[in-house]
Amino acid sequence: MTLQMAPPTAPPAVRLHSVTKRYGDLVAVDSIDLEVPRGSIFGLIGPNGAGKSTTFAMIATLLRPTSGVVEVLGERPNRNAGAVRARMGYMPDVLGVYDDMVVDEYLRFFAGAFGVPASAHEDTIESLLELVDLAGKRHSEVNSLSRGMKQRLSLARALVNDPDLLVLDEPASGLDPRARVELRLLLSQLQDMGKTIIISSHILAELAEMCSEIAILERGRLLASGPPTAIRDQLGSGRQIEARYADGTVERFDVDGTVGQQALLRRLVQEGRELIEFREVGSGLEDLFMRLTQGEVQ
Amino acid sequence: MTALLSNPVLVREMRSRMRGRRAAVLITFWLAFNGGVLAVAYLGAENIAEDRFGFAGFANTVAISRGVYEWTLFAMLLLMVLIVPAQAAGAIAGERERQTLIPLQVTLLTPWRILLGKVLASVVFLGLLVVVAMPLLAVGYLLGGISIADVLAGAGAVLVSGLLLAALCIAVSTFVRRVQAATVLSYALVLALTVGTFIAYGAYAVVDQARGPDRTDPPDTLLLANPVALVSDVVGDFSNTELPSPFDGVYRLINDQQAFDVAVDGGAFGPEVARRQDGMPFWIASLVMLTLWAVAALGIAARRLDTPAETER
Repeated sequence: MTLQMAPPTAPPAVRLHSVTKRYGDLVAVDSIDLEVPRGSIFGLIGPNGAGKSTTFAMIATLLRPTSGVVEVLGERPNRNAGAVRARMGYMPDVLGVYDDMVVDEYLRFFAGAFGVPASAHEDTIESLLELVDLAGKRHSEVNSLSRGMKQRLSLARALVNDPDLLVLDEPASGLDPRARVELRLLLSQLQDMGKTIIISSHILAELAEMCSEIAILERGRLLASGPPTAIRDQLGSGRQIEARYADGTVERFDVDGTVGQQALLRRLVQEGRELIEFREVGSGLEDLFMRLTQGEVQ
Repeated sequence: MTALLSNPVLVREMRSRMRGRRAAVLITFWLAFNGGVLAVAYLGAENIAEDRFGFAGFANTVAISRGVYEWTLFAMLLLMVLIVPAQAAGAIAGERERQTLIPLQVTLLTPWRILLGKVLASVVFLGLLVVVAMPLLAVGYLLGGISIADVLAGAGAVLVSGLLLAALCIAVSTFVRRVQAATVLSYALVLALTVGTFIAYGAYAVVDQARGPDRTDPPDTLLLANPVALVSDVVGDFSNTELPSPFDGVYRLINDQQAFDVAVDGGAFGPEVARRQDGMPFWIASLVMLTLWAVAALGIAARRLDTPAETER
């Protein structure tokens, strides 16, 4: 008889245990428990003032929690911030670029700040600029770049130390639709490279497309977390289905989960209805978000 | 040393400072102002010598050179005191204003390395200003009244004063969010050190005088943090200068104190160096005090920049 060992499960990239952050009387983050699986794209969603940026700042070694434990890549930022920073890339919700520098100098500066050996700067910068599609702007001044390009440059900066974890606070804000699509593709590419990405965005449809897991915050409290489908199932709410017929009429049905959706489709076909479209409406991330939150801010 | 010079913050700061026209304009203005003061001092000293002796021959160039040297050095110190707050105040406040501080804080650079990079950049830039002005100071040497050692000591004292003021201004910069506020605070600090200490000294003397004849002189510690007093003591005093010396008043103020035991260094033509009762020359005590202040201020600033922090800074 041979014993088969179960493969060891990788510890989460980020783990928050009962994390609270207070500023005087204001509770910015209220006893949050959260786990971000390695290799996932994890979306943090919430209205303004929900505590997303504070949570990001604690993960990014900038803020100390009032209570609770933050673990990033197996290290506690409070005790060993350097070890976390060496393996993490953080892109805050502001651009924060030096306008008076050339793109190449800017990345060299941060490569130096992360202790990347000077001999590796050339290759690192070249591959990063290729990745973020700024190779043609290598010798341009940062102030000559568009907002989308600066955003991509910030992303390149966050990647300069080849991090295992990327923390991106509102990376798509201020970008035009094309730049958003490009950013989404880029993040998928980074996920394929094995990186864990934590991202916040106001554009929920975007997060729905890229995130394997999400967490919804409101007033500093965690309302739900996990894969979007699991959250929807947790809520136990039905789905709304829209059926459009050949004669142009549209009908909406409330069904319970996937099984109900299948049953409805079968019934309509059996009834001989001339269906030209059958789709789920109003149960995406936006719908989940709207149902879970009340738009309250601190 | 290599580690110090390879500090990415230093490299970035130097690039930023030297790029564009600002540095060139500043250096041109610096040279023009100091050169102008030198020319006026030279002509003034020559006129005084002519009035006194009827000619401005070789014998008087020694006396003229001293005046030229002291006034040029004074102009450099004055300009340095005016330039340093403007240059240093934006060191950290500017990073905050541009929102570049957070990306910097999440790198592997420690707060001390960030601050050291900023201070070193100030040293290099102020050093450049002093070096480009050396030919002006050397005019005094060429005229024959002062030695190379005098030139180097004077330039060094101005540079060190500027550096210590810059370190203090950089520390101030970590406590405010706006460059404008940091600049105002830095100028206030420099004013307090350069003028405020004299006012405090004078006020002490007036109060003391009102007490009656058995007065004691104001304590010299009131002037220890004053960069003008530091430079004055390094420059020393010559009685045979043609022009009224800009440092003479301060130097005599330091020397005339009862607490001072005046020793004469360098023979009949050498500068007198004021010594404190414990035997330490005034300029060394001043240097130690300003250095301690600067290091302490940078230490507090480093703590302020340290992350993770309780609140976002």
